Amino acid sequence: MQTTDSPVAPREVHTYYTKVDRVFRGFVAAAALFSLVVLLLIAAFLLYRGFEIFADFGFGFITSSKWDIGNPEDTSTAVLGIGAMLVGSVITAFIAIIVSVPFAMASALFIEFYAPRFLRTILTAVLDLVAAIPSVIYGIWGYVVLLPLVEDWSGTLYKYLSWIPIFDVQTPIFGRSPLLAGLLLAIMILPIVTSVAREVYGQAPRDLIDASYALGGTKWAGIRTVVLPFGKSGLVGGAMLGLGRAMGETVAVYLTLNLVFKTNFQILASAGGNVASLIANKFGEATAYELKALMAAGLVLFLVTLLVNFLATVIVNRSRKIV
Amino acid sequence: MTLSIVGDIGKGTHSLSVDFSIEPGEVVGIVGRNGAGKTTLIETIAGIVPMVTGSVAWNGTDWDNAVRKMWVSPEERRCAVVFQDLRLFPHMTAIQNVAFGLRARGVSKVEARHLAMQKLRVVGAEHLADRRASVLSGGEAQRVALARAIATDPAVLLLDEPLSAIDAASKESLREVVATVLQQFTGIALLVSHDPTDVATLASRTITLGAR
Amino acid sequence: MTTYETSTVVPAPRRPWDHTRSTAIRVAVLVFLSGIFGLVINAITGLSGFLGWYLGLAFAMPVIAFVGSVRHGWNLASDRIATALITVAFAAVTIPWVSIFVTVYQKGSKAFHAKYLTDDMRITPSSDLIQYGGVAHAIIGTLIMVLIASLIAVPLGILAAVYIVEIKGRFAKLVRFLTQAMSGVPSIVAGLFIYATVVVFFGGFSAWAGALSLVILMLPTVARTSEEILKIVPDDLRTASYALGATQARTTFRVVLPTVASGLVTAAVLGIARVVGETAPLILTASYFVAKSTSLTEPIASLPIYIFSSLGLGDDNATTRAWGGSLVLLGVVFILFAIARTISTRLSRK
Repeated sequence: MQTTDSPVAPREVHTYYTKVDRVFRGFVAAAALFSLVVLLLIAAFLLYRGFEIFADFGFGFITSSKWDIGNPEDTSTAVLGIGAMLVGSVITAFIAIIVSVPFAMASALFIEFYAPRFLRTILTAVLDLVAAIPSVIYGIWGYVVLLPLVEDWSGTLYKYLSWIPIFDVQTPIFGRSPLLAGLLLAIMILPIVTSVAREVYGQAPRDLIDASYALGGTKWAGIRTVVLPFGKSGLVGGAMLGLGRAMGETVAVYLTLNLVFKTNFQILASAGGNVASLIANKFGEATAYELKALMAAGLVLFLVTLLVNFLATVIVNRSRKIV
Repeated sequence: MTLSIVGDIGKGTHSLSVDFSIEPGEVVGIVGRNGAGKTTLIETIAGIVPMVTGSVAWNGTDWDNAVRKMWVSPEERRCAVVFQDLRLFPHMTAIQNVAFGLRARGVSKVEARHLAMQKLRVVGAEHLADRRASVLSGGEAQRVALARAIATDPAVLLLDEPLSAIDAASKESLREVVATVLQQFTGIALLVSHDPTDVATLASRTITLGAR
Repeated sequence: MTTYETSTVVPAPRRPWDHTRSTAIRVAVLVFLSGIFGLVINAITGLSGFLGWYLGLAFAMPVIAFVGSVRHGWNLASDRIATALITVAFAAVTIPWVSIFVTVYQKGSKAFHAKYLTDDMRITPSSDLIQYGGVAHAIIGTLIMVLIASLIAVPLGILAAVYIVEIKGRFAKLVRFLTQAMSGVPSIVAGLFIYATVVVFFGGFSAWAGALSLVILMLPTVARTSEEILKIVPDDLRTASYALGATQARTTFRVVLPTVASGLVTAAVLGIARVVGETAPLILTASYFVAKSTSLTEPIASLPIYIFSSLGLGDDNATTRAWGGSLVLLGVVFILFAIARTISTRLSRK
């Protein structure tokens, strides 16, 4: 008998499964592809029901900001467009990201590098728990507790910063505004972004960090030069996951943003909306034609969030592979 | 009903040339340095790992033939393995473990339990029948693993270091159990061990792997 | 000639990164001074209350840290400032969480009376005094819909995971991608879909339409967690099973799945926790009903809708009821979480 030390590639072997296993494998495959079926059906049905709207308004459905049913008997008098709501979705989600990402970074760094070890497990558990708080509870808290605070802050912001256009308002009455909705969304998505950031920061190469300590660097120097650059793409991925969640959030925005059909960039003003809260708002008393428009709006929202989440997943997965 | 294996076995970076055949009734001891390929040999015969080149045949039928592209998956080969790490199913009881192979072949629950009990008696573990596999001691688990392997009356019995995890005190009694099982076994048995006492007392002939 | 000083005092070895007493004093002084500064801010600007004070503290800490350490060089100073900023930011992040838990408890417990958990709102208008009526119908409704959703979503989710990990089929990567995509579907879109199909087709809101919309949201969570769980099972048991003559079907159902049974239960519990608080899809599918109901083909109450609709009325008593419902819902989420964590710690201890 001789031993040879040459690299051996495993031989390709084709297994022929027994009848029982062929049935089993087919059954499991069918169940697994169920999710594909559902996703396709969602897109298909929304398109089917909303098609008339796209036919009637074309691209204007996405750009126009008017929502007027006109004469319910005569659908040609209707002018329907979700432009204002799309802008609103973007603005509130944007505020949410701008506010939450720095805090998420700080929280992730704190949990991973500054907190004492026993606290780390507790904080991770708390983070998971807070991420699971239902949006309706965030909504009611936002409406009752956060609203008066933001009203105060809006007043102060208006007093000193109204020369910046986004902080200006027509009437200095501050209530359910894009700022309030954006801040609430920031609080809601923070746990997700923090979790992803913490995971990525935790995988930063410890040997490089130790090397920076050995060279006389401080903890912050180590973080700044090794951890943050390493975690950049993971953080972006996490932020995009949060973005996806923020854009699709319904109840929290419904309760903290006054639905007005006018594109509004003044974040302190009591006007705005996002596509999801539009659907929830108009659903109760919608005419048949309006319902089709809501379906069309749902399709747009579906495609947009699908795209954002797809990008987010790609980025997060790529950042994981680098490890 | 000869088992013959000729060709190269290996997985990963090394390959090893082998060429031998075994007749029923023989107990062949396989010895060699650590890493020589003893476990790989067991896995190849059992069908867990394919041969690199060459063939494994039993009773004239190819179980694995690299040239003619034949492959019989492990569940179809009439082989049974006692793994070095035993691999009892932890959530099942001892008797459920032993009966597993029988149930896989379609034997009824009652019949399987009856047969399994017989095998447990052979290895002296019938009192452990309803105990969960995860709570068995080393020696007890070894007996159950042995019973599980012989439960389906395989044509080829493969034992990978059956006594390596046992402490010196229990080794004697356990070696007797293995000897009894091998005596009653009518098929082909392969015993891999690094302990020369095992091979000396249990095997009818020895093959050394990796030596010149 | 050199003289050697013999010292009888041997310095005790100390880990250089240990916190010394001087560090503790320094931090205490820092926090104290920042706190004072916060009170100053409170007094002289319009920012008042806890938050105004915290803002002052948050501003002061890095500045004081800087001032206190700049004499040692920028390296050390930047480290101290960074530590101060990060700690202050994290503490700020915890403030809303504490506020939510405290507010829900304080305001929610006001709605509780002896029969709060057993009565419904059949005969009580929401603006009535809070000793009347209860939240039982919402609890039952949520329970029914979540149960039905679990019966569908849990097996499908586990099977998807089995396909990816055990069968490793041709579409494994696709299924994985799709499950992740499905987890991004906004809850209102899930509701809209079920509305467009089930509700319209069968002509009315119903409990099982609500349950189906929850399936869409629950499935990805169960699938993803199950996949993680199955990946951990070592191959040894599988090969042992095949070597004993078992088919892949038997190996999966009799060996692999039972080995990780508690992990799969955790996956199910996490899936339930995910959907128990969903409001938007239920608005479009199950709607709401004021009485206890077990009918699957009629509208049914649920905790989130109970909260949402009570809040919409604007009345004080109704709002208190909304908080009461929030307390119940938060309690349910908390319990589910505790169950999931207990199972997984027991799993990892084995």
